Amino acid sequence: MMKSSQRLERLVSMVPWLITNNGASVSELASRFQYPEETLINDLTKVLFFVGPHPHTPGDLIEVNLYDDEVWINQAQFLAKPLRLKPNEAFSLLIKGKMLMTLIEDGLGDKPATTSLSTALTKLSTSVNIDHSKIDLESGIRNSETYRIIHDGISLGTKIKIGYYSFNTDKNTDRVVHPIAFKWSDRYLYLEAYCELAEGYRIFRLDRISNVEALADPIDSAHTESVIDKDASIPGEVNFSFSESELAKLLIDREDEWIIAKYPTTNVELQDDGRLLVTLPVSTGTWLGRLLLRLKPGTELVDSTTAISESLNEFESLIDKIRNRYES
Amino acid sequence: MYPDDLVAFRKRFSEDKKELKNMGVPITVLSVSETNKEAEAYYVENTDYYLPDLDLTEQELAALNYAANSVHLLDQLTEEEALRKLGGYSQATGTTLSHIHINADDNLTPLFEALANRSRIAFSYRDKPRNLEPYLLQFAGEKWYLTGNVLDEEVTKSFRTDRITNVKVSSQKQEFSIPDEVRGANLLSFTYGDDEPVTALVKIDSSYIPWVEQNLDVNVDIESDGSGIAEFSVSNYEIFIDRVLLLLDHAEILKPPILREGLIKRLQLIQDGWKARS
Repeated sequence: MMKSSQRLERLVSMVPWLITNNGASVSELASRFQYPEETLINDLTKVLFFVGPHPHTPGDLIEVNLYDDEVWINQAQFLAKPLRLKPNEAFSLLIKGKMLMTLIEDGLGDKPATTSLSTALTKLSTSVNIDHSKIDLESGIRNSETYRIIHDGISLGTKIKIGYYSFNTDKNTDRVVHPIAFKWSDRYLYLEAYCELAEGYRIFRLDRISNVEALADPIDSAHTESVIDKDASIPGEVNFSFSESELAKLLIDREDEWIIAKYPTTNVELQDDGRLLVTLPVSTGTWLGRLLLRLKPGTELVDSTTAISESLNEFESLIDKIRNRYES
Repeated sequence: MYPDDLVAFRKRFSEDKKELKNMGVPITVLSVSETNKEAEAYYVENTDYYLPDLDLTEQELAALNYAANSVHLLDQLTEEEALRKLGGYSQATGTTLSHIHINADDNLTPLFEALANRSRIAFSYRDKPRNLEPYLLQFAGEKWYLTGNVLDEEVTKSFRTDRITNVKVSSQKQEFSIPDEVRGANLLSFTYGDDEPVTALVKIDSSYIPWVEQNLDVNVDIESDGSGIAEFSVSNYEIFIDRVLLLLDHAEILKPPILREGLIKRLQLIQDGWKARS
């Protein structure tokens, strides 16, 4: 059952269209304005019929005519134009239109009446007094071949083959995956897919996919449902969970406190010498090594699990490998 | 119908007024004196109420519906009512695009309103109060940025909108004009700084080229062996070395020497530090 405020809002939007089109069928009105037919007939004849300007004499009230399935109205010139768009409505529509325009120009999806979209956006921005060049949208990785092929795989329900670089292990792997959906977290877009190599659901960051190939095989029907973000507060957002069994304590310089904002931490303590003692979950020694490369040379690993401490030996060999590249 | 009881009448009237305001009906309140009693009158100014004529064609309306069904803002923003005002909302405008998600935050609507009305805004950014004339809203690197003239400093700066708090939009309109050319946020922090500007050439192994192109906003020239060469303008050496080190041994700064040597020196310092502590 629609709330009375929703019905009023839709009636006020419907009347100008009805006047401009000189009537319409009840079924078309119901469909175009998402109004249940029975409620619509009732509201047209028993609510709208009693609306009119002061002094509300019968001659002032809106005249609603219903014949068979056809409706037309008279004496409603004061409602002949729709209500102005609210800022959030105008913003949302402009952003979506501009992003779609960008994607179509980048060759993604259909090209349904690109000109119509362009002229519609110009008219819309004029109506809300904004120069739409003052809203700038970058499609980012969405304009890449990688995105297009994955997108097609999701739309067509076909498998894809990807080359994927893991930051955690510093290794490239080729995988056949069943693409399910695009996801998002912080600054990055991800692909949620069932991975045949891992024999499970995985999340792949799009900018770490080095190559992608469309396959003709349809995806397995058992692996089509999104399982990754069921607990996310916003649909499409990935909430990464971290094991707290692999924790590292780092003593860092205050200049490196950016890591607190960038990575999940379980504890941060200010030390007497001004440094920070940060406890954070660590997925692999390679991941931690990569982080240490970016921190000030005086950073200390105060405490960590045995597994991480041992894998830090790899860190030293990692530095050697980088230096070899420069010194050979 | 309104109840006869005066208290119930006023309550109902107040609720209806609130609903109309939520719909966006611009109700203006006037104080009027009636004999010795103070009273309020309510009216709606036509020019504030009516949407200017858009004259959208059915094809244009269909194109907007297509956009609304293809792209999803990750927030509570909705345009369904907007489309009904424009002539009808439809979910049936079939789209072959799978859902495109765009990140959004609560600040965007008031910032958009300020930009459209050219109203000044006051807000806090990392606990510092700011007064700004907004010039540009920008979606880049999956985040939103607001660029504008900082009134206390008379410089153009960009701010990440999800870090803005306590936004207050001035009630005045047309308070300033927007320059024709406005540069948005520069997300490449190694391109601004106090170091002598240099051009860096970096060789990148083939598997890492997509990451470099997406994250460092640069076109990579592909060599015959599949590796890539990218050219960067650098004014902050430390940050640039930081970015290159993310690629471990899969990239190499070819020139200038100052950056090559800077990277090697950084590695030496790290190595010395770890050796001294172990």
